[in-house]
Amino acid sequence: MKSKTEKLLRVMNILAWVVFIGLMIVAGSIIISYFVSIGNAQASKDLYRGMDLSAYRQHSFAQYTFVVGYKVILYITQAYIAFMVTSLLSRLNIYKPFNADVVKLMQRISYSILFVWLVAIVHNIHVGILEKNYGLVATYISVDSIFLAGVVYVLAQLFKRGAEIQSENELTV
Amino acid sequence: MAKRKMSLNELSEKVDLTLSNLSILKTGKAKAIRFSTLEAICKVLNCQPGDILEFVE
Repeated sequence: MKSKTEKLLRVMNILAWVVFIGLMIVAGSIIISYFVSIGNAQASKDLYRGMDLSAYRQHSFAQYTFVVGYKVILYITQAYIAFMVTSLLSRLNIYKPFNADVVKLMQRISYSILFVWLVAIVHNIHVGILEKNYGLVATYISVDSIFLAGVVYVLAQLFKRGAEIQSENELTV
Repeated sequence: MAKRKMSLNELSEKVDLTLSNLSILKTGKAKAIRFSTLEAICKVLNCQPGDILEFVE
């Protein structure tokens, strides 16, 4: 019989897959809408579910491309994080949870969250400058993810120590 | 083991240790040994811990 934790992890794995697919769809939709908007400026009014970047499009195509680029990079990185979570959960053995693969994935997740934070900061600075100089209304992206990156990194270090202890335990006869 | 003319299988049965664990011990990959394991091996091989342990720098 499966334990409650195992069931929970399986549900989390399915959820992570859903999030991964959802974020890839969002990123794909924005990219397609962007290419449509190259020829048809009207498309920039609704890139994805009401994402209106037409003000940037009218101001400068290069700035518009930058803002779209930030958003696409953010969604793709988030999708990558969700993908890493799915592979982490599928590799996680509940009876021997501490292993090198899990540690590596957790570290990679924390670096990716840090990257998301950096992109969000650059995006916010960029749109802030555009707002200040040209009066384009800016929509800022939350930059709280730095805390999350730190927490995941600390957990990765704990798992690293756990992996060492587990290896010592396995090599005790 | 050679002096006692005992195979690895026989020792593993008498000491109640798996073959893979005995192999870990034999190849020097083990990071630690329980007193109970050491005691069991010494008992079966009729020897002292010093006869099976060696300090190497």
